[in-house]
Amino acid sequence: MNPSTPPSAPRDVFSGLRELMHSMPAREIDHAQIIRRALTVASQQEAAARKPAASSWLWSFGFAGLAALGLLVWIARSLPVTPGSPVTASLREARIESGEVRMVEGKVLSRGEALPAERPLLVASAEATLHLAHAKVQAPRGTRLAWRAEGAAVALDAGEVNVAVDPGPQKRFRVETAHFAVVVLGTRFQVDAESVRVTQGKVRIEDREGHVLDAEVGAGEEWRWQESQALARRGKPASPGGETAAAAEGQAEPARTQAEPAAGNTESRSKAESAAETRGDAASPSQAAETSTASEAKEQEGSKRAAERREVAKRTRRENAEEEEAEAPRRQNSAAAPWLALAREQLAARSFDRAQSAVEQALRKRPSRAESAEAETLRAEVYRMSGRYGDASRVLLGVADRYQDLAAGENALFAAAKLLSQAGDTQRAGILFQRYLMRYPTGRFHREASRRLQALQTP
Amino acid sequence: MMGTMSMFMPPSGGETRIVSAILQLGELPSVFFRIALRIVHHGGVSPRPAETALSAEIDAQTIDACRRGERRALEAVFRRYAPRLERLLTRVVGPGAEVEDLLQTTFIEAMHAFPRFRAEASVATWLSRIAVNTARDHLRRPDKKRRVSMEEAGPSAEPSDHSMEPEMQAARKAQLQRLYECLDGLEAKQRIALVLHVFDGHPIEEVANLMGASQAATKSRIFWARRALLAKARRDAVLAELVPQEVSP
Repeated sequence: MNPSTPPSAPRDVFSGLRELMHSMPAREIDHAQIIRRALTVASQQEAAARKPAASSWLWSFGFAGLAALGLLVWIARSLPVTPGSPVTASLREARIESGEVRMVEGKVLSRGEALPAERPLLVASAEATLHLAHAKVQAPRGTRLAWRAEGAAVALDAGEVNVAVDPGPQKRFRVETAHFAVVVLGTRFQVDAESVRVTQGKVRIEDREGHVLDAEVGAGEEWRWQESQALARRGKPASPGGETAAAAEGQAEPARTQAEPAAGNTESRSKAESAAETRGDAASPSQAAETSTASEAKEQEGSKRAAERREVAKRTRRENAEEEEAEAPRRQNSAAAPWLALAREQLAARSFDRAQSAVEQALRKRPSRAESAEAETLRAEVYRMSGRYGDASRVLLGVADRYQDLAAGENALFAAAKLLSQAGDTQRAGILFQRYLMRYPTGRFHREASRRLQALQTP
Repeated sequence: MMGTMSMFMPPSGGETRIVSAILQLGELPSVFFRIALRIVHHGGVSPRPAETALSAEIDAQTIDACRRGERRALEAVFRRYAPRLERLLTRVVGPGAEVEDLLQTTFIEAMHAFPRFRAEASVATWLSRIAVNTARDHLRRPDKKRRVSMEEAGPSAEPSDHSMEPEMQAARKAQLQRLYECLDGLEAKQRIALVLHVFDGHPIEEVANLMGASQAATKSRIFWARRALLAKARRDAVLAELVPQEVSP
C-alpha cells in the first residue's frame, strides 16, 4: 500500500494534514550506530542479568533462605487472628484479608492478594478488610482509597474506613482525606471525608500541610471538619491546657464532641487505673485516689468544653445548613460519591468511555441533587473533551435550568455560554451570558460574563 | 518453439496468422516494460512492497541465529527494518531527537524478545509491534506532554520541498509543530491508531494487529481521535487552513 495516498482513509478531510505530515522527511539517523549501541546495551543488560548465575551456590543459599522466609510468612498468615487482636505485619505489607477491591483499570483483587501501593482502589464487595502494614482497615462498599507504603498512609477519597492500629513506638499510621489527615499511634478509630470518631486510644488531626488542627482527640470523642472550619472562622475560644500544640501554632480550636460521654469517662478512668497497674506501682490507695480525682477533674473540664463546643457547633450547623446541603450532601453514606470520584479521575486521564460509564453508575445510585448536578456536569465535560460541543452545551443548559439554586447550576450556565462562544455561536452565547447576568447579579462570574458579552456585542 | 519457427516461414498461405503472431510477440516487451515500470514505480514511492520482498529474504536460519542472540544476524535484521521503524516512530511521536532513543529502545527490546519470537507474524510486523509499544509507553509518560520542537529535530526535519520559499518553509514548520501539539492532546492509543491509519495508511486490521487490540476498539479509537483532532485543527489559527471548515446545516 502506498502511504502517501492511503486508499482506506475514510474521508479526505485530513488530506491537508496528511500532506503536511508527509512533508516531514525522516531524520538523517545513523542506523548502524544506533543498532551497534542497542546491541551493546542489550548484551550488557543480559550479562548483568546472568552474572549471579556464575556463583550458583549463592543462588542455592538464596533460594533456601527465600523458601524458609516463605514458610515463615505462610505460618504467620495461617495463624488465627481474633477480631480484637492487634495486627502484626511487615511495615510495607499490604494485602486483602477479606472482600474484594477493584483497581481503576477494572482488575479485581480478592482475599490473600497483595494490594498495590499508590494506586486508586475501590471496595467492590459489601465490606473489605485490608491489612496495611501494622493496621487492619475495614471499609464498606464504594469506599475509594489508595495505600502509600512510604509513611504508612491511607489516602481516603470517598467512603469511610474503620482502622485498628497495632500500638508501637515506631509504628505511625496516617489516614488522609481531602481536608485533613489523622495521625495515630496505636488506636482504633473511624474516618470518613468529614469526621473522625475515636473508639480507643487517641489521634492527632492535621491539615494537609501538616499543621495541627487538633493535638489530641481521645476515646469516645468525635471530630468534625465542618465544625473545625466554622470555629476557625469565628475565632478561637479560650483553650485551657491540653491543646498546647494547636494553641502554639495558632490553629483552629478542635471541633470535638463527646460522642458518648459516659462511655468515654468510664474508659478513661479504667485506662488511668490500668496504667497505674501496668507501671508496676505498689498500687497505693492514695496514689490511685489522686489519679482518679485528677482524671475526674480533667473529664469534667473536658465535658464542659465539649458542651461549649457542641453549642457553637449546633449554631454553626444551623447557619450553614444550606451550604452543607449544597456542598456535602449525604456524602458520608452516599453510594454515588465514589463513582463521581472515579469519573473525575477517568476524565483527567482522558478515558472518556470509562468516565461516562462511571457517571452513569453515579446517576443510578440515588444521588443527591448536588451529586446529580455534578454527574451531569461531568457528562457534559466528557462530551466537551470528546469534541461533542452540541451535546455538551445541551447537557450544561439542562443542569443550569434544573439546579439554578446550586453552585453547579450557576457554573453550568456560564460554561454553556462560554462553550457556545468558543464554538462561534455568538448569538446564543450572548443570550446565555445575558441570562447569567440577570439570574446571578452577584454571581462568581459576573465580571467575566459582562466582559465576554461586551466583546460579543462589539462588531 | 513452433511459434518462433512459424515466424521464419515465407509469407504465403497463413499470412494473416503470421502477422498477428508477430504483433503479439511485439507486444510482449511492452507488457514486461509496464510490469517493470509498475514495480519500479511502487518501489520508489512506497517502500512497503520492497520491504515485503526483503522480509521474504529473511530465512529461518537467520531467525534462528537471532534467537540465539548472534550479533551479526541481529544487526542484519535490524538494519533491514531500521528505516521502516524510524518512519513509524517519527510519524507517531514527531520529529524530535527522541526518535533515536525510541529506535534504540525498540532494538534492545527486540533483542531481548527474539528468543520468544515464534514467527507467527513476519519479522517486520513483530518489530513494528515492539516499536508501537515503545512509542505508546513513551507518550504515556507524564513528562512527555511536551511540545515538539522543530529546532530539536535538527535541520533535516525541515520540510522536504526545497523548491519552497523560505517563508513557506517557515510556515510549514510552524504547521507541523502545531499538528504535533494537537496530537499531544490525544490519548496515546487514540493517537497511535489515528496516525497509523489516517496518516500512514495502514488498514484497520493491521493497526489492530500492531496495537494488540480488537478491530472494534481500533475503529472506536480512530473515530474519537479523528473528531478530536479535527476539532482542534479547525479551532487552530495555524492549522485551520489545512482542514475544511464545518458546514453548518
